[in-house]
Amino acid sequence: LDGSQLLDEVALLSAGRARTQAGTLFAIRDRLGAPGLVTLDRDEIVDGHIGRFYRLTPEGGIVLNAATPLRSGSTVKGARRVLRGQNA
Amino acid sequence: VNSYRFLLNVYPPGVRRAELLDTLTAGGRTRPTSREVANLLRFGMRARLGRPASRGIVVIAILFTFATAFAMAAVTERVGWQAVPAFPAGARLAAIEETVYPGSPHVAQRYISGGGLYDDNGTPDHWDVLVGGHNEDYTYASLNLLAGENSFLPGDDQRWISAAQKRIADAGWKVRWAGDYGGNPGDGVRAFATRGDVSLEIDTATNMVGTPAGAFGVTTTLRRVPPLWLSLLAWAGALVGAPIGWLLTGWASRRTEHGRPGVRRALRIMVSVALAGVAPQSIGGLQDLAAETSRIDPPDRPFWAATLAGGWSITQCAMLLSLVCLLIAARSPRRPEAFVTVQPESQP
Repeated sequence: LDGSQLLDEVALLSAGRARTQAGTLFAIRDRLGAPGLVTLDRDEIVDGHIGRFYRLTPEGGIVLNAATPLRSGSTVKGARRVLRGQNA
Repeated sequence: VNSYRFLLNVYPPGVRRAELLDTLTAGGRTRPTSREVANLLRFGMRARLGRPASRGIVVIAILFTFATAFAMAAVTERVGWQAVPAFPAGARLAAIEETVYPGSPHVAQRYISGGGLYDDNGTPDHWDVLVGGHNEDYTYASLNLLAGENSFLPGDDQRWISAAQKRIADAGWKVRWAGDYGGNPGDGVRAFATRGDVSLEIDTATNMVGTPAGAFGVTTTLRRVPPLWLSLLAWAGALVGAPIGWLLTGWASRRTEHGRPGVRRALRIMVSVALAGVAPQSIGGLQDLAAETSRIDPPDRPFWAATLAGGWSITQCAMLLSLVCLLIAARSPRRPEAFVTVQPESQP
C-alpha cells in the first residue's frame, strides 16, 4: 500500500472510527524507521504518480506481533489480516 | 496544490515533502482542510526536530523557544523605548508639582536618577554591563521631586497624604494603592497613582535623620510606565523570536542525531546546563511581560531586569554553552536522509 491507500485502509480496518491524517502517518513512519522497524521497499507509478512503498523489517514484524495483543479486538483482527497477507 | 506545497514548507527540506504532497493530493484534492493544516503544522514542526522517537528533544525545543522569544521581546522593547515620550517637563511638570505640593513650600529639588531610561544605581559603561551585568537595583529612571526645606514639610504626614491623594485624584490621577509601608516605626505612608503612561509615588517618613520636630519627610517619584503599544511590540518580537529557537534547536538536533555517542552525551549535558540557567529566567521574564501588558500593577523595572542583573552570569554561561553546541552541530557531518534509497531485503 502506498500512503493514500494506507490512510484508506486504516479507516477501513477501524470501521471508520480512526481517520488518520497524512502528517500523522509520516510521523509514525519516521518513528518506526528510526529504530529500523520499517524500510523503503520500492517506488512505483500508481494512478499517474510515484507511490513509495515501505515494508516491515523482520524486527518490525516481531514488534508488531508482540504489540497486537495489547490492542482492542477489532484492531487486532485487522492487523492480523494484514500480517497474514504479508506473510503469504 | 500550491497551497499544499506552501504548507509543506513547515517540514524540513527533503524528499518527505514530495512524498507528503503525493499522498495529500492522491485523491485529486487541491486545497487542505483546516484539520489537515493543523495536522501538518503539528507534525511538520515536530519533524523539524529530528529524533522521531525522542520526547526529550520536544521539551528542549520548547524551552529554547521560550528563551529566544524572551530575548527577542526584550530587544524589541528596549529599542521601542527610544520612541517613548520623555518625562513631563515645563508647564506639565509644574502642574504636577502644584498638585502634589500646592503653594508654599515650593519644590526644592528635581533630579532624574539614572539620567536616561534606566537607573542602575550608578552609571556603569557598556563594557561594565557586558561583563558584570546591571546592579540588582536596576529600575526605570525616575524623576524625583523633593519638597520644602531638605524635603521636610511641617505637620502630620497622615493628614497631608490624605489631602494629597484627593488632590491628585481630582487632577485625573488614578490612585492605585495607599497605606503604610516599610513596617518600621516612622516609615510613613505611601500613595501610588498613574495617569496615562506616567506613575506617581508619594512617600512620607518621620524617621529620617534630621527630621525637625513636628515635621515629616516627603519624596515624590515620577516614573514612565511602558505604554501598551510598547508591551504589544515586545510580544510581536516574541512571536518573531519563538520560531528562531525552535528552528535552531531542530537544525542542531538533526545535524547531531547520528553523531558519536560521546559527542551526543556532551551535547546533552551542555544543553541541560544551559536550559537550567535560562529557561526559568525566560519563562519568568515572559510572565513579567504579561503582567506589564495587563497594566494592573505598573512595574518599576523592565521585564528583563532580573536577567541583566542577578541572572547575567548564568545567562552568559548558558549563551556560551549554546554557542558551543551550535558550533558542534555546524561541524557535524551531514547524513543522508532516511528512506531515500531502497533497502535490500535483509536475510532472516
